[in-house]
Amino acid sequence: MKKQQAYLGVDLGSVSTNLVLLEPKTKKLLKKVNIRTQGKPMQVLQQGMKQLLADEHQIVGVGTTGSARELAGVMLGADVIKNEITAHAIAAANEVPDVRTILEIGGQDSKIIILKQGVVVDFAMNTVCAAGTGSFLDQQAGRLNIPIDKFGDIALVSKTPVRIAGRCTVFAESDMIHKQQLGHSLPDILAGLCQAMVRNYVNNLGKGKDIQAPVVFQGGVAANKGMRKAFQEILGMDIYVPQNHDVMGAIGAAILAEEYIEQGHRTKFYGQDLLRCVYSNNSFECTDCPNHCEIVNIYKDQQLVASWGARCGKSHASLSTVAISRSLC
Amino acid sequence: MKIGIPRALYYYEHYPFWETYFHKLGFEIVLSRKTNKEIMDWGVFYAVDGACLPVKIYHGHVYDLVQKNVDYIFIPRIISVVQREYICPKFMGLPDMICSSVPNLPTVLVPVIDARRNGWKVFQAYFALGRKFASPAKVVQAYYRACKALQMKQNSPIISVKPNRLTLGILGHEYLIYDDYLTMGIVSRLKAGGYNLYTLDSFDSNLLKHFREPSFKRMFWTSGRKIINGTNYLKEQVDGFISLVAFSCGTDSLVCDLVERFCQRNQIPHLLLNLDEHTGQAGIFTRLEAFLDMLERRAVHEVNCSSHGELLHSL
Repeated sequence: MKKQQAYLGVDLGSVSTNLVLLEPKTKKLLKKVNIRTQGKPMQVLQQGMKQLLADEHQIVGVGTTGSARELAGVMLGADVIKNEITAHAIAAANEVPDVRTILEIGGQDSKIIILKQGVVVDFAMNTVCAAGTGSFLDQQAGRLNIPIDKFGDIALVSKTPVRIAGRCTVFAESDMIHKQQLGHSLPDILAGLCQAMVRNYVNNLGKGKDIQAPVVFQGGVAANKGMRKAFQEILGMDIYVPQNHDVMGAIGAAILAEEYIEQGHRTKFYGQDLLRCVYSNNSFECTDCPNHCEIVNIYKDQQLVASWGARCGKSHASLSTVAISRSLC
Repeated sequence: MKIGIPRALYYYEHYPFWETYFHKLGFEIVLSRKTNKEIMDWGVFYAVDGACLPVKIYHGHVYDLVQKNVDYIFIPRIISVVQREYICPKFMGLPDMICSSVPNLPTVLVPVIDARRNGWKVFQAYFALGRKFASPAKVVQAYYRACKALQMKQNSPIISVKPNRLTLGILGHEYLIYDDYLTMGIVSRLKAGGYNLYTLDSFDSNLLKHFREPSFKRMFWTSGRKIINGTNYLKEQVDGFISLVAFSCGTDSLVCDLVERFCQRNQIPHLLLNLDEHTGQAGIFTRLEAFLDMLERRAVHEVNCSSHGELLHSL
């Protein structure tokens, strides 16, 4: 039997790792795997690939995105390695062709992307601070001892959300505790938190941006109904959440891979090989110059396949032999 | 006699002057090394907490010179370099900051450079400084040669524009843009990538005096004036602007906002990158990559996209 062709998209993010298989042309989602990165991107990626490659698909192209896109690209032999913003925009424009605004909230970062006629014209990303991202919601759900997937439903019950300071997670938490000790109900506090986060997002990222409908809300946090409702109220617009909102980055990467392969390139994907290989890494401080860069080397079956971190450009496996031999000792 | 000049802040603009001046006076010039991790660590250690990163790094450069056993260190107190304009107030206090926080300093030479009323005072300052080491005639000659050297520098660089490549305007202080360590090599990477880059010293500084948008008030900071006028001057020649700003820079907090609004009004893509002590490059390069992607995809789709033309309707 002939195997079904598919494009692989990988979003190796800080909190979750998403892999998808897309059908060529129709861009229909064939399969998705969504696991937590848990600070071990290499092992988790291999584990995810094991789950994904178990059945009869033939991979004809690979795209990677996410903060560890380079790493994923090296491990898989990716055809396209793209940043998250482009990947998310492509995926959303595929789902809602006339999309004007994309709100994306992930584990460690949040972004707003403004499009016109399918082309990104403006974007903003949160600064290094992770206030107002998924990990804060996660942490608060943990503190209140409610499962994160129930968070949204509980928040929806609220009739009178309390006001919570949202600028900084430390302030937000102390504010939440004060309100809780005064006797406000849990749904009111959760709904208040959602509103605070959205206010912060709109103030911070949306500052000066021209937010127009249709608005697409994606990323892991889009699963939270409370956040959806808060966006709806504060922006005064309908918010569309795609069915596969949690893997949009990976879908975008797969579409970009398809675009690339369609141009007549051949895929560099390693195939089943990947599952058998043993990947390892080590890092060291290069002492060739006073910059003392932290270099990370990635090995595939003890063979150096990538190396980065050097500011001098001695990176990507072209490091001086001295540095390499030192790292092997 | 060895004189140490820190490779930071006004070095990037005035070095040709200082080089010629001190050379003519018979000094051997010692420069601090290019910024590296060690210098940054020293700077962060010795400088006051609230200073911006370039000022902190200046401390590191001075300490680097201390270790090189120079006889003098040159730390001018720069108040103004152009008539009726000031520069960042931190430059004024720089010698005091350094003297109170960096240990084991040799003799520090501190001329007061104040061109706010006229250039005569600048001459007087350099004359008084030079008289400690040479005859009046020699000092005067050194000063005029130095002025010429500075003019030569300002009149030279013009880039050749490659067609079919994106053209970018890099906005920001010279001491930030040209310090490869501080900017994590953004500028050199863009250059290596084959992009056409305009920086604010790509053209004659006099040119930037006249391109003022009517809605802006006269800028009283020299660098702010250059940035704003440069933005206005370049608006039709670039595909996008990239602003490099040191976190907690006082003047840029104002100037950058004006630039951002200007870009919005004129529908020019603008990317603001905040730089601080980060060494993780991922965040900066994700933003940069996305910005370049956006410009490139936009250029391809421009034919059927009215991303510029909508200005008529929205205003």
